[in-house]
This record gives sequence, C-alpha cells and structure tokens, in this order.
Amino acid sequence: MTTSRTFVDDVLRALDGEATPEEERALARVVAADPEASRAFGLVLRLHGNLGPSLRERGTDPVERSGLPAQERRGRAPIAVGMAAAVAALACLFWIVRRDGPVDVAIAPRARDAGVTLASTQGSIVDAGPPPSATERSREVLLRYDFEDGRRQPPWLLSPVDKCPPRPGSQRCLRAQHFRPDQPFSVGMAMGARTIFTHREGTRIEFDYWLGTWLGDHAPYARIWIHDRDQNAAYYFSLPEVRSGAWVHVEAPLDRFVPQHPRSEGQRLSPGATIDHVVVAVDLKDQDVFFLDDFQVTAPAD
Amino acid sequence: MAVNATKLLLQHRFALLGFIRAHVRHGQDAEDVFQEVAEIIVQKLQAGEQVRDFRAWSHEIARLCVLRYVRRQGRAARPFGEELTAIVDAAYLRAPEPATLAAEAEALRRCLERLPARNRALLERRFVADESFAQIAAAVGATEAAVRRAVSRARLALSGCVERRLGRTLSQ
Repeated sequence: MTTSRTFVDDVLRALDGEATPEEERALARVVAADPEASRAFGLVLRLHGNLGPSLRERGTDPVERSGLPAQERRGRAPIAVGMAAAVAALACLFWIVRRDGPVDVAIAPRARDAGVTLASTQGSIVDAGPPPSATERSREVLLRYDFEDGRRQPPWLLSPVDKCPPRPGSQRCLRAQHFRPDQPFSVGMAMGARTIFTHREGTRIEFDYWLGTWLGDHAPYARIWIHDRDQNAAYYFSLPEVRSGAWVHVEAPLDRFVPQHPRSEGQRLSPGATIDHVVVAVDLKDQDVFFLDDFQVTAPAD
Repeated sequence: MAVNATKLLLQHRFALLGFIRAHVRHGQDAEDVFQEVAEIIVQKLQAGEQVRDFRAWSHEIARLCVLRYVRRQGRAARPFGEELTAIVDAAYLRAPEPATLAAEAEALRRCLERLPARNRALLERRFVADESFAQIAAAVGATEAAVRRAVSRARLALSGCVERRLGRTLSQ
C-alpha cells in the first residue's frame, strides 16, 4: 500500500531537497516502519541516482541501445579517474590512500604539480612557476596557436576568436560557447579525419585560460578531452582546480589523461596515437565567460 | 585470489550512484564523487585490502567522500536531516543483490526508451544538463510550476514503468 504515487512523489520531493524538515522526518518514519516502503524508497533512490547517467548513455552511445549494459559487453569499467578526482580522493580519504602504495594514477597534491600555475592577473605576472629545467628547455613545439590574427585559424573550427581580457602581448583569444544545450561550454578543435597531432612519449597540451565571474552554485570544473582516432577512444584530464578572474596556465601531460570508458585497467594513450579532437569543456552558466589563449602541444625534443 | 575490482564496481554501481546522488544534489558533482569513490575502491582492492563486506566497506568510503563534498559546498549542499540520512544509508546497505540491481538498471534503460520524446527532453534538461526549473521554463516557454509538474509526472511514470517491469505493482 505504501508504493503509491503519493509516496513516490514524497520521496522524489525529499531527494530534490524540496521537503520540509517535518516532511523529511515523517517520510523517514514511514520508511523505517514499513518494509515495503523501505524497498520502494531504495528503488526510487537508485532510479533517481541513475537517471542522469542512463539518459546520457542513451544519448551518446548507440551500442547501449541493444539492451545489455555496454560496460559488461565490452568488459570495461564504468569509472573514469581524473586529476580532480585523484586530488580530492587523496584529501578526503588520506587514511585510505597511502602515497607509497601501489597506485596506478599519479596524484598531485598541489595544483602546480599537476601543471597549473597562476600566470598573470590584470596583465602582471604573479606566479610563473620555477625557471625551466634543461629538460623543459629542450621541448619541441608540435603546434601552437596564439589567435592574434583575429581569424579562426584551422584546425580550430568550433569557437570564435574574440578580444580577450588584457594581458601582455595578447589581444585576442578563443571564446567558449555552447555547442549543445546539454553540454558544458567548450572551446575546441576539429573532430574528423584531420590529424591534429600524433602522440609521443612526454607530449603535453598547454594553454592559458581566463574564467570570468563565477556565478554557479558549485565549484567550476574543466576538462580537456581528446579523441584517439586509432582506438576510437576519448580520454580526458580534469583540471585540479579552476580559478576565476585571472589568467591561469595549464600543462596537461598526455600520460595523465584517462579513458572515458576504460577497456582495461591502467589503459593509457599509446605513442603514435592519432589525436583528431581536442576540446576544453567548462561548466559555465550563461553569465560566465571563458577564454583560452596560447594553445600549444609540446613534446621532448628528439 | 585477487579481487576483481572492476567487476565489483559494475555490480554495485547502480546502488552506489543512488546513494551518492541522494546526498549530492548536482548531477555532475554526483558523478564526480562517484569517480572519487570508484578510484579509491580500485586502489584499495588492487593494493590487496581484504574486504569481508563490500557493501559496508564501500558505504564508508562513499559516506566520507560525500561528507567532504558537503563540507566543501557549505550551505549550498543542503544536507538531509538525521532521520532521512539514516534511511538513505539503510537503502544502500540493504540494497538488493547484484542480479536484482542489474535487472533494475535494465528496466530503467528500457523504460527510458519508451518515454515520450517530450518527457525525455525535459528529464535530460533537468538531470543531464542540470538546468533549474526556472531555466527549463524559460527555454520551453512555460511557467516554472508547469515544468515542475511535468518533470514530476515524467519521473512518476518512469518509476511506475520500472516497477511494472520488475513485476511489482504501483497502486494508482
């Protein structure tokens, strides 16, 4: 009798945070006292938690539509481990993760270790990081775009070049825009037959970004997505933290990118992989702005 | 024998996501917290930790990660009261066995396929794009109250569909 529409509606309202404390307590009493209510509550809870991921899977993965869970058929894990997740995990469960333990993901305890430095604020250099080592100086630039000619330069096809917040020596950069209403704001390169670059050992993606006033009700997140055409697999790198109101420099080593849908444990990009898609996605609200400048891909010189 | 961490995660993912999403009101944040939890579980199991009761063990990991998320969010997190927290905990700890969870996941998938396109679009805005009711209302040219009702009806219909697929009855 307890799995009535009213009961389900009450549970959903509570899960949405719309129930009053009194209503929450009343619901808890019913669930605690009635096994059938307890069962129904658990089911609604699980449906609520899996609605978004299930909708997203339906929308993006046609293999999913044949019925069986795609992860099971492909033998892949449903996890994707990003830097943000790694750092947060380390911080929230320091008693569980031993730094000297057999972890397979590099964990950077500080933003700079993960390749993020505050490059400049209001045009002045605040923290450019330590001077480059001999190894750093011997890096080769595989490609570089500074957008200063004001045009959309191939192979950047997805975002407009615009005037950007002031900084020395740069007037224009890429401005993020919505590609799809259900996707975060993004700046990106072409996806298609074109090769943007070929991965080799030690390759990293570098750029500067500037996030305008953050009006969201949660901490902003940003991810760099790349697509390996050879494996037809997407990989991503979560920025450890996203700062607003200042130019921030990012260095994302490709060996820190993790697969969106792992097919095997410890899967990483292989040298020689053809990268045909690079997108920087940030979950902006309509009032926010995000600029990207001085994008480059570098690798150790041969 | 080494524990297959991936298999365990797959078996319990449906229940874990339910537990985490109950506490983390923002969908993308919930998935991020799930990833944190999943990573810790994999690391611990690969490190050889002996786990007698996976449900209880993973609950403690998830609970701590959720707690940290709630602290980080401050007032925006709007945590549940003590009583509701207790029954959310119990719902995870007493969740059905993996075979039943898989059936629930499959039922949800099937029911989503049968959902009218208009309802699905609404749910995608709300639970994939994490749009507020006000944002959806502005986008579709309806009142906020109408959007709330429509989303509520769609979710109720979905719950009813899943219950029927699982062979249970949802009284009208």
